[in-house]
Amino acid sequence: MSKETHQRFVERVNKSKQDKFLKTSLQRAQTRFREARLARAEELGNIEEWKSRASKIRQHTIENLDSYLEQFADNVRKNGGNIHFAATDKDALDYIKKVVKEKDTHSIVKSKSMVSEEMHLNKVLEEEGIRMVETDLGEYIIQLANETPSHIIVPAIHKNKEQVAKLFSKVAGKELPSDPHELTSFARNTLREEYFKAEVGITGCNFAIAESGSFVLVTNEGNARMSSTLPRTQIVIMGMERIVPTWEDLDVVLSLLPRSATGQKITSYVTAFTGPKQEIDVDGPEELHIVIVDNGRSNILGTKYQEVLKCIRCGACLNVCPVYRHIGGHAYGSVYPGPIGAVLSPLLSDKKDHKELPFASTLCYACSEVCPVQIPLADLLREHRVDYVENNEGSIGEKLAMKAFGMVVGNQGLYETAAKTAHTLMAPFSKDGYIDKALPVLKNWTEVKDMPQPAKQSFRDWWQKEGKEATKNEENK
Amino acid sequence: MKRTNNQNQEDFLNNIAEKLGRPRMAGARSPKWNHFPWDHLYQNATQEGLIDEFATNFEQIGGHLKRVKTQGVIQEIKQIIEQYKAKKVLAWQDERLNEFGLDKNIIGSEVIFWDFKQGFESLTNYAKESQIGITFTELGLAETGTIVLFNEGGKGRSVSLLPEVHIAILPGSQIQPRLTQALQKIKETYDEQGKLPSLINFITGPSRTSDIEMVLTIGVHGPKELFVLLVEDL
Repeated sequence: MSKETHQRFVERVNKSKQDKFLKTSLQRAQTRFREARLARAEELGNIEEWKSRASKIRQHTIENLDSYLEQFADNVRKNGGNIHFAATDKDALDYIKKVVKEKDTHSIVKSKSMVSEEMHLNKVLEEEGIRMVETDLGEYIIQLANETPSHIIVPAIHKNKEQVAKLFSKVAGKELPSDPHELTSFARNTLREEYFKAEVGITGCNFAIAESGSFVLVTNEGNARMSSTLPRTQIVIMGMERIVPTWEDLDVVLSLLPRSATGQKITSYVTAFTGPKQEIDVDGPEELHIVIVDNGRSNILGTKYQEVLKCIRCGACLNVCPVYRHIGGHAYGSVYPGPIGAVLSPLLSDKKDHKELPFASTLCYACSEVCPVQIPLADLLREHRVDYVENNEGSIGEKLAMKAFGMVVGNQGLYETAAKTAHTLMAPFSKDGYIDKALPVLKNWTEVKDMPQPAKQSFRDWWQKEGKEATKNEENK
Repeated sequence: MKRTNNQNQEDFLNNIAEKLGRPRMAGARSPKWNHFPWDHLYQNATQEGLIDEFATNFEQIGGHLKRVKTQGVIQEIKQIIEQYKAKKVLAWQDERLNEFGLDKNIIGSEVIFWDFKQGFESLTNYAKESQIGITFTELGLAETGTIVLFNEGGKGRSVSLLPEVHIAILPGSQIQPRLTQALQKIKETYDEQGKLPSLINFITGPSRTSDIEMVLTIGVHGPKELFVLLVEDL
């Protein structure tokens, strides 16, 4: 990586590390999501079978993506909707701009969509003089703060209630108490008016269903329902891989998404759309536009990284990642943070950005283990590192250091031995349980991350000895 | 020359085929599976067992469950209207609701039905001011405590969304094990009719968020209270 990129990364990480609230918040979130996710897996009783099936369905879909997208598009048109295939973010933006102009749009209500972040949709439409209103509570908060999401499913996880109160007080024109319930109530009342005003609603898409041209949104707040009920035009932005062949296939991935994400059995709302409103309907959009976005995704097809396109955006890998826990989403400097972001972002970038992210990982394999669609995230991170070294990027010194580090942490057997022995071996380098910056082989890495001193007992050992026992006890309750 | 939408699509899909390293593919079919991950769930479930499980899960996520008989439905609705001192009530234009005796006036509150003739503006504005919305549930799902609503025609989207209180009527016989049965029903409907309602809603409890410091907060955009009147003899 260039010295400059590296510098920026170091700055972001250091900034995050100074944020005391962020640290507490991430720890709290990771713990809670983890416990809930494990409880849900226990209830199903055969989680690995679910994951294996989900993986096969996603893999089959990606391998036949042209066929399923065509089938989906045909059915959407049959249902009375419009489809636009956008090869690039610019294509997508041009089409969306055209639609909103035709509709003489003054304001747009928007529910959460990660792919819209890839194209800086709000900024572009605001430049067209359109008022953009994010309606997901977390997204609304960060829009007011002029920031970007720091977690795929909890976008404002880095904000505390005092900061939110300050932002909302500005909108209210009076001081609001820093109570989450009061603040939520304020957002409810304020945003309620916006749904009635907006000419257009923009939503994302969790899963499209090829066989009927339908699509599904998985939400908790109800803002996506509002955005698709009151505005007379709905625009849906979907990444081109966000599709399954049949309703039966949907069952598996829809059962796994909330369970893996927040540990809910299902979210408050799962909303399945088929076309715009029909003639007999009163509410719902008269016009429906679905924009299918490539924006770099097709370059991943046919490569050793193809499996990353199986992702269902649950965020489980963020919720188990020790690096994410340590540095938070913003430090990644990319739309998608955490292990999935570290794999995906360098691939989506046409400017060869984000090359440093695959090094922001301990290769502990927690991400690979938790992934509901069995993406070998840690292996792909390692592939990135190999590519990086082989492509002669970076100085020789860096290359050697990365290679040495990669050799130790990349090989499971070696890593286990290293993790076990490291506790004793690294004692002279460590300070308060963290490995200090002096360790030469780790220099680049520890510069940004005080690496926790390897635990006396590795996770794998703990799992073998106690973890399995613990979950068994849970079962007997 | 301006590119047509069709050219766009062809280029897009051809590019996918090329990147996958094979000719364009059409008519792909999902693999057929002999067994499913959910096969072991609900194998010996009885209808009573499913109803109990629905009740447990529904209450766990903050829903209010009332078990009633057909003739008791209207009394239950009256009680809820009184509880919230509701002046305006919105209901689906749905024969299944009329059979319970739901009428334009209930104990002094105005009931408006989602009638196409009234038009979008008038109905959504009324919905905005209504305290209670009344709907009829297609299915209940035991595993998650979910109700499934088919929204079309007189069964407007806003009714279960804009009022702060949502009352859904659910026949006990319509409670099924899990998502699987609901998706099968959707697929059957599509195969039979060649189309689907423009919106199908799976609703599980009141609207919720944990976006501020992970504190669970109820009623952020959708209803704050969800009542299910489980009709035991239907």
